[in-house]
Amino acid sequence: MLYRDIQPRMLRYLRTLVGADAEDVASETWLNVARDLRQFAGDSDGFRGWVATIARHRATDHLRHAERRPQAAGIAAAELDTWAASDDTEHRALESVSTDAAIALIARLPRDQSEAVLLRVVVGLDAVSAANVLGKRPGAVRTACYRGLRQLSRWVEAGAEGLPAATARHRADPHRRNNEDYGTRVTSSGERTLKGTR
Amino acid sequence: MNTRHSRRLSRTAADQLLDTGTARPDMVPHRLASLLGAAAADGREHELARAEMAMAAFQAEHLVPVPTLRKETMIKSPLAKLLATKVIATVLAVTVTGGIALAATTGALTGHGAGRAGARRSAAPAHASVSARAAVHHGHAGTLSAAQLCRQAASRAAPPQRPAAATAHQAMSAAQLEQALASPAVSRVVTGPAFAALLATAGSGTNVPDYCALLLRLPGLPLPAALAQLPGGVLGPALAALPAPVLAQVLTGVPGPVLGELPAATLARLPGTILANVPAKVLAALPAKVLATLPTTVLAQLPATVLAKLPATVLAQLPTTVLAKLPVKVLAKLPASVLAKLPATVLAKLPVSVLAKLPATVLAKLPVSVLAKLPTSVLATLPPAVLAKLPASVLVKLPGSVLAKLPASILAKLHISL
Repeated sequence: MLYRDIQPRMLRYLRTLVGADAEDVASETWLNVARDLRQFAGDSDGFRGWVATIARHRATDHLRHAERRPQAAGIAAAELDTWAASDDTEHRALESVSTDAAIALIARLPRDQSEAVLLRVVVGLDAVSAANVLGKRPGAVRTACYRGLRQLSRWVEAGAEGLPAATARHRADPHRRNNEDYGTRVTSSGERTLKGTR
Repeated sequence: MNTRHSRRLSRTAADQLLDTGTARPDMVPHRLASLLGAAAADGREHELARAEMAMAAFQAEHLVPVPTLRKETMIKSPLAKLLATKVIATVLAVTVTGGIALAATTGALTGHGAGRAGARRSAAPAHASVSARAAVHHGHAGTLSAAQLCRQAASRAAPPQRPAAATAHQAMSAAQLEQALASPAVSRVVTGPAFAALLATAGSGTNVPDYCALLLRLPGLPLPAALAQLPGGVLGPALAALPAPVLAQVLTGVPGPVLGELPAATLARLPGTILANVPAKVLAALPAKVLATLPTTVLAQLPATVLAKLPATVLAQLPTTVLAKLPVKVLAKLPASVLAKLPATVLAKLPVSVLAKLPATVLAKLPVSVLAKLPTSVLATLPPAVLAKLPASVLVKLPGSVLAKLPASILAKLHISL
């Protein structure tokens, strides 16, 4: 149902905001959503925007209380190289990685750009809704999005050597994903990605 | 390797990609599209690990009864709780259709730039299913009885926090139906196309609660004044379906002119106390058996032709001024004690056989021409002063014991005539 749709997208968005604490903040967000559901009135887009706004507030609170900087689950240059170099037999596992890798790459954008891209592409909000979540004008969100997409495009075209060095905010953790139970889904987009990058 | 896809993303292409979900493949770098597709891919198991926690939160928040809104519907049984949870999930799903649709965007934003377009495509079936459900309702509307439409309207007007009622409106208690129909939401609900027939029948949205209350036999709801607003043609059949005691309860206090518009068959089922308010013109059409239940003061207003149908025992209670207007044939059936109260001018019209039963004191008031027709056995009971007025031809038939009481001057006349 609804949760199954929004939760993964919110989690990816939160991961860029609070890093490894994303799941805790997501849980707080859902508690908040459940509590205030009666106050919500609107359509599907409105609901996603509403949930995203709550998620962002909870993330802000979380960072304020934790007094620490977000720790993004980053992507290392080595991982991107692996992504580019893998052959077809690894597709099944790597397809699952690619979502994490894609999110991690987006997280490397400047904060305003990464949030704008995630809210629009991953959470699925339109420019106005995303602007409401971020407290900015739609025009500013469009610009941030464009800059973010252009930077992402540069990075994926350039391959590993084009990536910026991992910063404190984007701490690399190349081994994190190796222990996880990857999904089994394979899509054509993944294959194209792998083949095209090689 | 780095120059193969070095096409620069234009602002226009980026906006188009984000706004519409589509962009010309040659405008969007292939690898960027793949990256965004991967970022927006379907949720994976580990991302849904805490789903139960979220569901528990929804349950905890939305199964707690809100006293002001649903005091009778405390969800007690585990089954009811389960149902309620499902309903909340459904409500969420329907309210936020687009959200579900988004989940279907597997591998969004492929090299063909079909990402958000996919979302839109899958959103369409979600909306379609809602429309389909509405269509089902419309389909039913044609075959549903007015009472069923009323129940449906009530269930839709019921507070949304009462999920049990929303799923099983058939099971709504009379009190719940009344509460739902009394809510201002009803007039909004019935503006929907599914209720067009109901709205047309009741005349207006404000009439619907009263009309439905009648149909569903909810005597607590309709106000007499509100009933007056219902078209007579609607009110009649609705009332006709009510059992007599409920009917009486509903119509108590209803103004007479409104009652007057009801079919006689309905009125005939009302007790006299309520019928008393109905205009005499209308009552006149009722069967005698019904009229007989009316209070005398009401009957007294009815035309003599109507009263003539009533049993003598009923008429006997009417004031003499009313009885005096009755046809002789009717009066003849009345007990002598009643007739005795009638004016002599009325009695004079009665057949002799009837007059014969009247006490002498009454007969004494009758004109001589009438008395002359009475049998001698009756005349013999009359006082001598009355007999004295009778013509000699009548007096001669009287027995000697009676004649003996007459004054000598009268007897003298008799002897002369003899």
